[in-house]
Amino acid sequence: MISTPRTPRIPTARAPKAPRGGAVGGYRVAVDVGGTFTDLVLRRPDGTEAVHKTSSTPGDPARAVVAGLTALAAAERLAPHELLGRTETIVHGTTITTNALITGSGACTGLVTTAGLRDVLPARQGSREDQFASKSAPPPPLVPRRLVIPVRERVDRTGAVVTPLDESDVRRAAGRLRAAGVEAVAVSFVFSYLFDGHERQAAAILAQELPGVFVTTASRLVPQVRMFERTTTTALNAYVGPVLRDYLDGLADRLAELGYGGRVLIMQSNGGVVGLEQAADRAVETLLSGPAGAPAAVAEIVRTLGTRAARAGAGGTGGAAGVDRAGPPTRPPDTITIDMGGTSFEASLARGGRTETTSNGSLAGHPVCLPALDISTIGAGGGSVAWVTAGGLPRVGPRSAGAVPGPAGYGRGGTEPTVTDADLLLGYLDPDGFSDGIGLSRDAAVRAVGGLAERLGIRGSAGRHPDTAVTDAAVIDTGVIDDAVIEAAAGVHRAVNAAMADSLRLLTGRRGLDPRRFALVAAGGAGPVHAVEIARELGIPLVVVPAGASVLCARGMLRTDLVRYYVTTLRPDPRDPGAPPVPSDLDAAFDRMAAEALDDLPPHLAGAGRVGFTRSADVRYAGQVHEIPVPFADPAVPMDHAVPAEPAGSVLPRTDDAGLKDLLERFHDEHELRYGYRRPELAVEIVNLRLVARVPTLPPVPADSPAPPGPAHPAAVAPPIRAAALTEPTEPTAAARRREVWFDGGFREVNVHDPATLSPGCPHQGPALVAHPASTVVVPPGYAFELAEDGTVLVFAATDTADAVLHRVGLGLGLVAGDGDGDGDAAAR
Amino acid sequence: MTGADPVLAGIVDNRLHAIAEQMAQAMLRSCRSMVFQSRDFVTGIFTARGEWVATKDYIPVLAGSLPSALAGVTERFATEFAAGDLHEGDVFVLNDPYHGNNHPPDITIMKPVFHRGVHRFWTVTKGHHADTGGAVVGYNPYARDCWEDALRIPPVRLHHRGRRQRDVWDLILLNLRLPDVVEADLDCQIGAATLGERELVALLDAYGVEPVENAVAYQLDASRRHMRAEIGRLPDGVYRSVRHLDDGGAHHREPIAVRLELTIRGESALFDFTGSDPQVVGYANSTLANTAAAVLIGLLGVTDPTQRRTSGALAAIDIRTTPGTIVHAVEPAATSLCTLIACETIVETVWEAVGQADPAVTNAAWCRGYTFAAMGVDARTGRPFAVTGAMKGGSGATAGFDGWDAVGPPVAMGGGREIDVELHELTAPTTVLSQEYETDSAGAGRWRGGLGAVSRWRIDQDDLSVLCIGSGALDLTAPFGAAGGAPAPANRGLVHHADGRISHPPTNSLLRLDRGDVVEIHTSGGGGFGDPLDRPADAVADDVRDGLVSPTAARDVYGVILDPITDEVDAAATAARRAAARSR
Repeated sequence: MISTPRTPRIPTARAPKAPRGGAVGGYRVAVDVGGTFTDLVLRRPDGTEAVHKTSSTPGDPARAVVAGLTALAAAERLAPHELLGRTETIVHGTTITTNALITGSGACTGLVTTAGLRDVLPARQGSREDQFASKSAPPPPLVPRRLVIPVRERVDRTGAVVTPLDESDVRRAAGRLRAAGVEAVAVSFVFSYLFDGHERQAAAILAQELPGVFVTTASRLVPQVRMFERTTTTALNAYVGPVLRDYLDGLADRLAELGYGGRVLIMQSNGGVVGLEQAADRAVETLLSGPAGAPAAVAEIVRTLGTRAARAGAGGTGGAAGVDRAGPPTRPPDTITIDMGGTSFEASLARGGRTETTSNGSLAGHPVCLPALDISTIGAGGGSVAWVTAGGLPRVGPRSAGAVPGPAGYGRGGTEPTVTDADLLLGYLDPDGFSDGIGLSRDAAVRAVGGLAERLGIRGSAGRHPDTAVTDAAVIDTGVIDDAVIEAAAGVHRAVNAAMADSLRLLTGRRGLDPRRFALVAAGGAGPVHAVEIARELGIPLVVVPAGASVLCARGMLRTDLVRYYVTTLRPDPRDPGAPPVPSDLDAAFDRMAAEALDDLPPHLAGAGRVGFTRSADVRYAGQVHEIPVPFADPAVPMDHAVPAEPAGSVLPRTDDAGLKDLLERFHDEHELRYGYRRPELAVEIVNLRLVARVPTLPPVPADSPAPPGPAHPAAVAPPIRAAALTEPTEPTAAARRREVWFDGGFREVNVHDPATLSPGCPHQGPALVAHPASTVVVPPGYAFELAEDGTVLVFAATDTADAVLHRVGLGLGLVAGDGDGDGDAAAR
Repeated sequence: MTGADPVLAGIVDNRLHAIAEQMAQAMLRSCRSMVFQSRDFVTGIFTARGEWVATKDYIPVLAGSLPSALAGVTERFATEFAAGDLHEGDVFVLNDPYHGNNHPPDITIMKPVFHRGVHRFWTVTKGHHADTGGAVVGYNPYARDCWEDALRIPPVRLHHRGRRQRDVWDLILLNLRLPDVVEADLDCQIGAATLGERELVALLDAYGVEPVENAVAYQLDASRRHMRAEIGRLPDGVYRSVRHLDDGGAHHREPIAVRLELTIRGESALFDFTGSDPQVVGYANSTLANTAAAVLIGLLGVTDPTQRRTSGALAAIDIRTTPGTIVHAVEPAATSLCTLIACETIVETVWEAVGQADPAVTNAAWCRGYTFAAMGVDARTGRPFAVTGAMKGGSGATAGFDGWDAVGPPVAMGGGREIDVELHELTAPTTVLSQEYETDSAGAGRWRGGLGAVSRWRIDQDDLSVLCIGSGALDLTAPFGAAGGAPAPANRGLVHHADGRISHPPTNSLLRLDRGDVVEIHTSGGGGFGDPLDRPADAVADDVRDGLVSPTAARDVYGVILDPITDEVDAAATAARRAAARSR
């Protein structure tokens, strides 16, 4: 296969037949290229999976992809071309655009904009995020001012042309941009979301004058109000577009050389996938390509848990909660997912397995206003440096020791105390190091954390060393760590847990959600170490650590859908903006968007009647500046069960007065939850209508797969991945080892369990550690854990049972009624 | 501190700031006015004793005067509170500058937080409202006293035991031209205070009352020690500065001096403003609360920027003033513009004085606020509107860094957000013709100031009321350079009337403009830092290519000669020119 995205192709010309019924079908491969590792997951025709991890090759990322595929083939006892010949889909997540942005190595980019408004982009709305930092420089501009070229044109607030586009200005701009050697040009004019003619005209001229240059227009990419956000999004698209295009061209060539003729789908920030040919046009939508894979994997785990919760409810095993057989049906639990690694801490929310999206994201200081999974990067992970203010107040982060030199304990020259150092000294991390071969140096960690103890004036709780400096070499040599050092390490651990809990509180609080009704899913090397304490801080009753958490994103990529987002801005009567919307108007707008979606999606998929639609509205009180997205209460359409469909018009539910009233009622509720007040007597405006079209890319699940009993969830569940099916290389461990670990103010020797030796469904009491290959689940005293059938580790209060907790969380109940002594009142208020 | 757990103090400190942040985010998303949307508001958390412990200060000058506003309430209601008449569900409001507020357009909302029946905290929000009455919406340059300035709202209860005091609301709203907008924004403030209340109760539940109180005491003390340590890094001495306000409003067209004598001794700092000019008839007078807030901005701009803004930080410094002066107004002085021009002038005195102590830590002066604002009712929609149409000016350079472009006056330190050009035109009958950086608007230096801008906008409706407000429009008040850096040009504005006339309205005056009139505003860049002849020639050449510095200024000011065709540096000619300039 040779891909030349510069000349558009018709995707169907080459697309293989869509798999039907799941009976046949070939292999399917997900490839997640990260900064350090390239993760691959192979799904065999029988639904079992294999995993391979290889080092990334940042200079030429496709090399690691090919190496990984070759290794996967070898493990299947196939030649690479044999494997690829039988593979129907490769789903690919890449950090290529993210890296280009972060390292400033994107394309040399020009911006053509409305004369008079040249500085909309560089002026950043006249703001400085870190207000008092006078000794700092703004983020480097995506486009240097000399390449921001104004052209004469003007459209007014009604979309009418006031000044026609001056084509000679555009040609002159092209000449200057050519002379500067630009590789990409963004076109962004004022009010282009109301009238796109000038942008299209300018783009056509630029394409003609600048052959081979990547040209992108704001009105096509992001047709919505606010020129600044629209322009930054478009400029970003230009900045990373050629990088992605060139990379994908090269990748397609390599795959073709290996004999691959199937489709390549690229993971997008919105959690969906797009064909390789279309990906570069909207390159800005791949900025979260890697992390966007995780939610789909979490969704599957959560669905499995939801099924179990329903069973628990029906079977009455959740006796602790006093479940009534005829009670309300459970649903997949709402989750907060944290992914905490060495240099990053990311979090996202999912309700019922579906991760929330946002159109107000930003990356490296640049706003991006296209719908993307709402994954917040809110901290620096295990590398976060602990320090003490000049006033004596301890803080952790935001500065990170990064990958180089990294935490002091890595022994690579780092001297500052980090979260990882504290975790090491407290026994949470294996002193023999991670599976990737990094040995950990306790001495270096002791020195670093000892310095912190001194700055905090900690002398050790027992006061045994009142006159000895804690960094005294003699203390280290003896191997006995001073109390003060441990106390400081415990302080760092506690402080970072609280800080992460604060971030998650903001994440939920922004949406008016109560974290106690969520389960916490922990991924990344450091996530499972801290998850239970974070959950304790937040009152979260259940921690879920997926098996193979280190390839979570790649696993998710195997399970993502084709997704397209559509938006229609309603134009209310300016003289009566509060006039109630007419249901038939809404239906007409939704029908138009649905028709567009069926046009846009590959015909062999859309035509098969497998498109699922989700309708929502952006609502506000008349005159407010911002809206709240409120979904219509349409009958639930599970992700892997799409509605049968012919013409778009009959696909969507019709809106009636009762439905509209219900929508507005939920708007008032949501407003009060988020912002603390409601004004039901005020006029309400519907500003935008949104439609999400979703086509599953996995074959439907065979009918004979285990169906969940009970009334809960009609959705079929994909075959669970058994722990045994994961062929991630792990070193076989003997019987449970023991280790000294810090809990509740003292060291205790606890079991270090190997999940491979545990029987599913059997609860174990903490304190204990569960050692995964790349991470450790810390289970403090008072908590219990068990291994689920799919290899997931569940942690919950020792007085509880997994089934009971799952059932409560599935009901959206969270904490047991009466538990928490008044907390419930606070939450209810 | 005995019994204090520094780790818990750090945890509680973070949590309190996260709560203040959450309150601010809620306001940003649920507000109605464009003023709130531009982030002209702050949130704060206080202990029941009135100690300021956390804040989200998009506009720091608003935040720095929160403590005195809360004191205004507790003093006014001292008798009632002592008698037990303070309840869960109460909400207090105030805007009066002589009851602790800094200026009347900012309305402060205060809500007591009860935990198990005991008053533990206050949540506070304060924002600049679209209308607070008075003779002119927003700012009244013709105000001679505080009654002509705005409606005066003393500390009163808006809610009592959770019930809306409808009569009090009516009394306030009846006096406003935009009651709907103000009511919506007040509800947004109260909503945010309620969110904060929920979270504080949860915090007390989680850690217990006594540990939280100990943590707060430790945190405040740490904040005080931190500020003292920062002050201790400045050399001991007495440093003096005099900076001026352009005028005091329409009735006082003379510059007014703020005189600072700063004494640094060890870890203590005394800001003595007692030599400043008397208060004036006009709206530029600064209340003591506003002066304290301005000093705090000045100090935070030259010390560790990660410091918390708390009662502890304020306790580390002494401020001395004379009642009845421009920096300590007493009734009946009008004050509505004090958060802008008096604040900027006071901040400048701090930076100039600190620059004498140690130029390496200070800022060259920033642009001052200067703009035209149009207001009225949009004939197309029947909706009231108020917009400003000027791109902001630049910040001053520091040792090691150019200033930031178009980041606005130091009262916000870049915390505000310019309203998007499309929202501007959708909400107001005016058209933005241009808003762009202006070549040579920054002060030159080894590090140059941030760029100022030129904006032109057209009035699309007859008989609109347009206000010209601000300062920094005189050479005397233009942004100064530091350590040999050049000053930036002054702010200026003019009107191109539809009939061809050009007028130059005085700063702080009200105009009536008609359809087709075009307002043109030039905002200052920031002052430069260090000798322009020391700026690397390549950096100057880059500025020329980007249109920020003219080739003429490159030659005359920076001594850099560029090839007129390629814009490349002519190294030999540059070296010669710089040598000649240095020998002069």
